[in-house]
Amino acid sequence: MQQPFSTTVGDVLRQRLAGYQEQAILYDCGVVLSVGDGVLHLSGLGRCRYGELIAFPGDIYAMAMELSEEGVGAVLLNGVNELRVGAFAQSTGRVVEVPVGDKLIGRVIDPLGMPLDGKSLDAETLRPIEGPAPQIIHRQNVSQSLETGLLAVDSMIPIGKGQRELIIGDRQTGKTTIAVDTILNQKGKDVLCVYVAIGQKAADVAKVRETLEQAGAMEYCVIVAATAGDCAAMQYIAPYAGCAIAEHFMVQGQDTLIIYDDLSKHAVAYRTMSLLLRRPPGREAYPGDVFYLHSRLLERAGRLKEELGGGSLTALPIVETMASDISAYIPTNVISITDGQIYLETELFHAGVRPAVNVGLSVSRVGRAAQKKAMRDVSGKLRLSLAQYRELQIFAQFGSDVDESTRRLLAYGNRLTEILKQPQGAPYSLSEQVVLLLLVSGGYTDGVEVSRVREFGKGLLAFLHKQWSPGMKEIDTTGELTDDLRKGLESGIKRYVASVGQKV
Amino acid sequence: MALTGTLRIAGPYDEDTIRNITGHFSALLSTEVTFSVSRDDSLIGGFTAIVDNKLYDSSILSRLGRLEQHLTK
Repeated sequence: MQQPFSTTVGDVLRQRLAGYQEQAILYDCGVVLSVGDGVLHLSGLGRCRYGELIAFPGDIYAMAMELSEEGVGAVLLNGVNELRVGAFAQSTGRVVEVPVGDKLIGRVIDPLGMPLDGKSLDAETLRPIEGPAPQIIHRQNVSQSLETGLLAVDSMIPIGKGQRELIIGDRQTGKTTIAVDTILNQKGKDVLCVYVAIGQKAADVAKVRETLEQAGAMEYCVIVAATAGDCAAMQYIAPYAGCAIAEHFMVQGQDTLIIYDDLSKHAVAYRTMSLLLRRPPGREAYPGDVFYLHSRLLERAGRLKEELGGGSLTALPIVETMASDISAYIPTNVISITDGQIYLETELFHAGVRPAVNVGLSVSRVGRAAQKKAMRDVSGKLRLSLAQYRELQIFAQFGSDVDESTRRLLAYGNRLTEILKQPQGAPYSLSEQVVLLLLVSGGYTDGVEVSRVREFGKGLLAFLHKQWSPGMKEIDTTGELTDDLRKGLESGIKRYVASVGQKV
Repeated sequence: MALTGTLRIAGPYDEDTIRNITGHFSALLSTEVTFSVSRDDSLIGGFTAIVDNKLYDSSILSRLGRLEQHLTK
């Protein structure tokens, strides 16, 4: 409120305290009956609500998770080793909240909003970590693309703003790399990113932060970390806290991207809590509401209508499979909730195909509508060709004679696979992706040895950036490949091929 | 049924004060209340009483806390 120049502190206090009345000073109170492994049971607290914060002496807090006639079951958020039986508990009437807003950008915090990067945090706005998902009438269709910068993904499994796309695969198949590369590619695109680490090794989170820092991506990124050393309750609330942070930006009209790395560990943390709270175990010992655990989280993603600011929240949850089993409980749950999945395969990874995307099992249910026209024009038959190639490749391994058309398809597939390989942290722009796909599909690499295709493509990109830079920029800005642009591009490619001595 | 509770008081206190508080709670809850009393200077002033799963907080510490919340709202 604007105050006149001559205002004193006394004036302000008098004004603010006018009409102030002392409120009730009666709290619900309980006593700790048992405590262990971060889970406690309390007597009393008859009016406690589900999810409410319960305070203990010494600034220790717990979250109510189980309400029954016998008392309250709660999970400790801090001070796991400090609480004793007989300690008094007080209900606060508040739910768990997390600081939100611009001051969080570039920071690493825990799920309660405490900074983990050694600097102080002075955020003014708080937001409850749990909240309702946007209503049906407040949403609009996914129609804008969110580019990952990965040729294999953007061409065949495109992601749109507001989509939920699962990244799934065994350990060490490059799941986090895809997520981090996607964050890196948002530089200068006005998309705020939240990376939520759940049950990860602290060293791995530090590595992600370093990668983002070095690429200058922390300027538009927030990291929420509940590492493997944190208690199950902190790991449980981490994705909801991250989502609340991203949601705050979304309702202000901002495009946001959130990575949940990973939801299998989140489910394990929830299973730990549920078993300690004596809830009945179901399949794989997960509690009955493990589906709802993830569905209510991922439902909060989406794209709001223009009247509501037009902000979006794109979610990329990660799920780790065991021995490539995507029919396990948590993977099938999350697959059914999301709008598609990027499936990464160990065999492909070890064969040097990186990103190790299995095109046959990967799908994007809504992203195709959001794909830029230029990309749609050049990637139409890509999936089919690659799927056919993979199938034929299996037969070709037996060394039997193949006819001419099969041989041609195999050669094309080999070159396509080669061009789809992409090093870590080197995202392609839209124009670069269009060029590379046109290079292979146009047959310009037919005279090039398979092992040299990538190098050839790299050379072509450098050549075009130098010789045909206005055309490249036009594709990037308009997102279209007009006839004129296509002709210009093809003549550029031909000139390059001629200059390096290859026949077309 | 008689109830027992915990009473924390800031600063020195005498028997009369305890008797007054105990009498007040006995009347309020319509039953005999007995307290185990302890001194807690962190409350700055006033007292807190825990009885029948309720916390009656009449300490200066909590009043200042609520005032702070009101002023910074």
